[in-house]
Amino acid sequence: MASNHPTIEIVEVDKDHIKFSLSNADSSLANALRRVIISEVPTMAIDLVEIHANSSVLHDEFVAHRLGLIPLDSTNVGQFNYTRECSCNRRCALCSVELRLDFKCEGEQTVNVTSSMLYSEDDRVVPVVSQDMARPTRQNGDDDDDVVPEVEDTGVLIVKLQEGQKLSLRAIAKKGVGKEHAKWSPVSCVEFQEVPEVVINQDLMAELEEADKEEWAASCPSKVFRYDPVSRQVEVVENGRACTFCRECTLKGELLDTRINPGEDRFAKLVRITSKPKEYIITVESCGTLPAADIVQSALAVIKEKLSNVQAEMNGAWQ
Amino acid sequence: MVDYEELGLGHDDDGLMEGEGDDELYIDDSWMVISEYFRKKSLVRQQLNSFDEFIKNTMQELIDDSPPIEIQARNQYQTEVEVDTSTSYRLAFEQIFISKPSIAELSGGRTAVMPNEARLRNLTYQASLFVNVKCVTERRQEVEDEDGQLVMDYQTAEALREKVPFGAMPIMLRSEYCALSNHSDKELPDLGECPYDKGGYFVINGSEKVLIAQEKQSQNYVYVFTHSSGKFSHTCEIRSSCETGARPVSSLKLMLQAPPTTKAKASQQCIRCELPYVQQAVPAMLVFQALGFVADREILELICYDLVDAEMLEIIKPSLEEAAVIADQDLALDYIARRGRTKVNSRQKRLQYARDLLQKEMLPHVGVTDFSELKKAYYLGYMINKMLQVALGRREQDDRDHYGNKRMDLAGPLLTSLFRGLVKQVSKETREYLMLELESSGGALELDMIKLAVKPSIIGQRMKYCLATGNWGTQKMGSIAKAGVSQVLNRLTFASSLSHLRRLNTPIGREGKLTKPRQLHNTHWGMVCPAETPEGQACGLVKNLSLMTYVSVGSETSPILGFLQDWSLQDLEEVGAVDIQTATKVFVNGRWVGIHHNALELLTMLRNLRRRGDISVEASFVPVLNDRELRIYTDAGRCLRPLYIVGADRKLVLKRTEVLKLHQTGDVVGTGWNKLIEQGKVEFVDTEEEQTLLVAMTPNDLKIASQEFLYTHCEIHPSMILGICASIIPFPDHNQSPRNTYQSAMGKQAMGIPVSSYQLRMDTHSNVLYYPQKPLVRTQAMRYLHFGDLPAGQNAIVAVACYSGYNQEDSLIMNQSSIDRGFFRSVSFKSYKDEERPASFDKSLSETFEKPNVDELDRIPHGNFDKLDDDGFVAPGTRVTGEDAIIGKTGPLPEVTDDNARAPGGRPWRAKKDASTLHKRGETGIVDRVMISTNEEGCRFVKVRVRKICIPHIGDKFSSRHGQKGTVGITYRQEDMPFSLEGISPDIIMNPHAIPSRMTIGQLVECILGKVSSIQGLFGDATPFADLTVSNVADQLHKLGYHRYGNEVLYSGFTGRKLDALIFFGPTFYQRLRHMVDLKIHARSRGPTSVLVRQPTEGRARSGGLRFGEMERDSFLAHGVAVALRDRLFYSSDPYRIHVCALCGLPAVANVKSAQFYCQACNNTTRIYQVNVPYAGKLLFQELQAMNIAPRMFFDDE
Repeated sequence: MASNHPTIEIVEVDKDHIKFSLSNADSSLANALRRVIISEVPTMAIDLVEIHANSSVLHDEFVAHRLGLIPLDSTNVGQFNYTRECSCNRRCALCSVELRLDFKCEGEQTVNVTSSMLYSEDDRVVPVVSQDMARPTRQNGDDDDDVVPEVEDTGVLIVKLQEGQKLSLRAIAKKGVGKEHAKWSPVSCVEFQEVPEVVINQDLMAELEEADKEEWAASCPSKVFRYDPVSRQVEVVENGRACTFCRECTLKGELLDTRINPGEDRFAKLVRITSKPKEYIITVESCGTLPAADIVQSALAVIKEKLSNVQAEMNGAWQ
Repeated sequence: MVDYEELGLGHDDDGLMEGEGDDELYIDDSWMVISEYFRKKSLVRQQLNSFDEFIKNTMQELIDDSPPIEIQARNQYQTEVEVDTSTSYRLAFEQIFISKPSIAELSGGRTAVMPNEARLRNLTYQASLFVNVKCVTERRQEVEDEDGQLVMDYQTAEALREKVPFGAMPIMLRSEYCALSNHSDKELPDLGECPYDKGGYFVINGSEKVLIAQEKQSQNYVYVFTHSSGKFSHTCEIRSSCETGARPVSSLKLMLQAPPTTKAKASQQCIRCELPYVQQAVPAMLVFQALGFVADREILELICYDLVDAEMLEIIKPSLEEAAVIADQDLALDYIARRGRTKVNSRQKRLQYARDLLQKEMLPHVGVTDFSELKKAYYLGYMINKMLQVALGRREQDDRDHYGNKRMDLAGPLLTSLFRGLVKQVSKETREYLMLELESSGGALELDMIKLAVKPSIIGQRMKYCLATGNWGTQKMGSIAKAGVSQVLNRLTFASSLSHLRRLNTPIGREGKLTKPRQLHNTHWGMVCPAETPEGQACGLVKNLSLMTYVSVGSETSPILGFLQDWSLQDLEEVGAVDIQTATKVFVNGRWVGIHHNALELLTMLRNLRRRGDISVEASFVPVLNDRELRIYTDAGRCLRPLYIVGADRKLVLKRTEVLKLHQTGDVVGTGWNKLIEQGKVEFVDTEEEQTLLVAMTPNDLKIASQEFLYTHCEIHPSMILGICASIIPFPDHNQSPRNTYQSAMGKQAMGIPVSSYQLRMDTHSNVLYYPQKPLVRTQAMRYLHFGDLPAGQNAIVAVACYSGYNQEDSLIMNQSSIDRGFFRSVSFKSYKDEERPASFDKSLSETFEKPNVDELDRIPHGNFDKLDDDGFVAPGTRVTGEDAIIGKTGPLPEVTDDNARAPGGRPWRAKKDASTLHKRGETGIVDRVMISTNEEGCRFVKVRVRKICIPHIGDKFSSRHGQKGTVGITYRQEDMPFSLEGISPDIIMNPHAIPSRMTIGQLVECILGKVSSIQGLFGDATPFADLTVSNVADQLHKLGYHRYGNEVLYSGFTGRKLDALIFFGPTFYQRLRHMVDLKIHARSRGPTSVLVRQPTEGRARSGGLRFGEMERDSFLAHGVAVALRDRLFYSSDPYRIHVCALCGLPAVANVKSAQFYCQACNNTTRIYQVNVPYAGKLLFQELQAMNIAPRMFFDDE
């Protein structure tokens, strides 16, 4: 498609990941998308904690901070208002969700209190419990005898309770964006890279000894080049997709220069690496609150809303 | 607890197995040996050993040494009082007993106390001392014997009073007498202790006190110094003191006169001698004469042994000629006595005085008994000989800073000196008390009196006082007490506590400009950390022990002397001068005990005995073959360190299989190390002995160069030269040396977990990091410091880049999103303490904890009492701010009978006054814990702990482990941070300008090794002096698909464009330092003023003003801004108005309200001026008037 419109081509997608290439777009657009994904996609997170009893080893603020970072399933954020925009007085079911945790360790075993013990009053917003993420068993060698036998609890660990310790609290989750606090950010990271174009100057390459060619090809840590002993040529693997722009190859060329023709600057130019204009590969890794694809959708919606706001302003100013 | 498995990186085992089958030790195997060492001896072992030695042996010895108390009633002034003067009593302290640490209950009994209880309740963790007192009664009676003659008859009776209370002794935590000693590490948490805390300190009034080891010059060592200018060209000194006993140090100085500069006079180089208690230096030869060696030949034999040594004889000649005038023992004694400090008139007494002086005061370590003249003469001769050798250029002069000549006074010797003085004081006071009782009761002593006479409070109180304040010494001994001997244990980080327990102090004036004692000396190798010392005044004077240093506690000389006898040591009395010349002189602790004809054989024999364990492992044998001397030391306070022994086959005696076996058997009991010592694989060597050995740096050196060098020993590991704080630095061998020193100081300010029992403690200040992490890149030595268990920092992803410019001049850019997620979040605990003290005017009344009722108080109190509960305390979980009362307390007031009496403010008299504790103003926190208890006096006692969460902030201080500190310049959210093509954004962006001038290459290496380790999921090994090279790490990183040297392409977070430069990027361990802006921020417009001068107060704590100093004043003057200057110095400071009489120029009486002014002296009511002066100026005038100076003010328009 040779249009001038930005094009998205999805490379991979699953629940937590999405990888797509964005072409015909400036870095400004790609970066705006990235920035909005990180900081302006609304999600739900615990914001207020009312502690009724806490005899754990962690003090109240510690527990509250940990609760805040627990990912809550935010697929239904759209149904909630921001508390500050809500018509209610302090908070209501339209802008918040109450979660409860009440646990006392009765047995002698130390018990892990995890996010799965958080009971949500609203089914639309519940703590994310990952199915595929089994907690790794502790290595033996750690001599603590308080290692809890592995139970099928894959929630996020909040605190460990010893016999007789108790934790009882009420937490209020609200809608928010990553700009305000990182706990509302839906992603752990957003990868963003330019597409490399790697061109080997084969004429120059031909001047090199075979051993040097091989050595030069090996200089790339991400193995973009391959020396073919049959054709005695260095070729680029998969169009150089793996290139990280690390310049090791140029450096190697310079080294060869100093050895073979000191003072000159020839082999440094053995390869020309440029980035493909207007093409970016973006990978989004969700932290579980939203499916990765939804995050991108939501981000685009945010951008669109921003632009329409600008447009509305513009119209207003014009008239 | 030792985990070899975790250390995967750095060295790969398979590469090093060169030559399978040969069983030689490789340097990395040493870590198993070192682990054995630390299993046996924790890092505070020196403190515990020293204290145990004191309690077990020294204390009893001191008691045994104290002279018996002899009392006998004297005839009284009043004739009617009959006193029995015929009976004398002799009291002697005998066996001493020590209880378990306990406290006195109010009810009278004693209960055992645990250290944490002592800490919490502000008690002293001490044990009671009891002593058996033997009383010998001797009655003299005149009896008629069979012949009817009057004969004195002595009747003696003996009685024993058992376990008389004698005093109290603070007990060092986890020493043998500590209540924790019979608990296992597993039980410690239940007792409120941290299992990693190995003790070594005291708990005095609830605060933890460390006795800092004091470095001193060793005694009984002959020093010879050359002087380039002055009257004397060479001097020879000795500070002699007996091995036991309370005798003070007696010094003796020999001086060789400088050759005259003018050639006119023939060289007249006489030797003079400064004797103790003799005011003038006497000719040295005279001392020989006074000792009974009159003939020149005799003297010469004592000095130069060899009568054909012409050079030596020539140099002694003038001295002999000088003394030839006397040539008689009595004359010589008289000569000395006449110059003595006390003048004696009779000649007989003078001679006796001189004899006593020579016997008791001169060179007491040689002997103080009769017939020690010969030995003393030999010793003096030896001293002169040594000095002349130096003068003749045959021998080097001594080095005052040589570490072999230094001794460390640890807790044991420090307590010994204190205890000795106190025992003396107790005997004295006991004697005084008994004398009084005896004489008032008519001369009969009842045994029950003893219990009353021995005052246990003397030892108890004084010990406590010295440990609490650090002013060492008994008050009556008058000696200038040493300050700062006992310090409050630093609990900021676990490593800082450990380092504090291994600190050394040199008590030399800090102002002294002499740089020599501050410099690192060659002999410090392996004993004192080369990096860890403070900057500034105490630089080089305060030192820290290296990791494996062991300080000797002192052992008996008798077994060694016995062995020497058996091995044909010749006593000085049996030998002639010629023998001495060819034989080796043997010294034991500086005392010349004899000569031996085959020193080398003797030496090998002694060393073998030591290696077999027949002689204490601490003993050291120093052969100085050039000088024909063999010095043996067994005294306390020497620094020793273990070394591998190299066998006769020039290979290590310790073999690889043995080490592996040691490790595999999992020797938990800690006997592995003992085995190594007993089997002669490893031995302790002190600084002086070390000088006579050839030590290979690594076992590998032995393989390579064994043909060229005759190594006798081998280092266990060169990184063991470092101390606690320097051992935390990764790759210190790649850093510029001062950076390691800076980090050693900064590591003590890092936040981490101070002790694992922090929840149970109520320290006045304590900081705990929320999510401490084990460093990704660590040194082997960290294992022994428990740095992985109680870490003090986090592994931050660091980019070294210029990004927006907010990290210039040592500031950092920090990732706000990381901070949101808990990066370097910490909690700061602060404790407040109060108790119900009895009222000063009436002891039966006392203060009460309660919520003060304002109506009952004498005046309106300061602060807010709303948060207090009825019991006077704030409930845990309550947020407190500003000047909220935290502990409500009222004190009683003296009763006033007059109903109409009014308080100064006009309020009626009330029954109570407010004595509450307010929270520190300007800070907020949450009450964490309230502890109510009773103190030693049984008063109610409370401690309140307030917590505050500290989230990193602009202005907070952070540092890597390489002396690279910086403050946060700005925080950026994740989207604004640069990101790598893996989407990683840094936690910290450091400025590249911090690197080139500081040359902390270690940090760069740490970063790339950290990157490799994080990808591989292993810990990197950054132990110094290991084989790891940068290109090794770079290769590994390359293999993992990264740029060799850790550089990465980063994209700008603002624009999404690639940054032009590659950025150095990777994990680096960062520390959060306790210096947070919140505790520093300060501003004031108006506020409190000081009472006296009415000027603004000073300092943040008093919300004071910022000083407008003289330099600022100068600047204003230069600008000519007079009004601005007046504003600063007058209106904004202490404006005041006075009225002055124009006639006399002195202040007049003024009543401004009624506009009446009057100068009494001048009878002037009209010519009065109103003057604006600073209040401080008015005060000055008044003070001048008070001392009869009249400052008068006159006015121009007069």
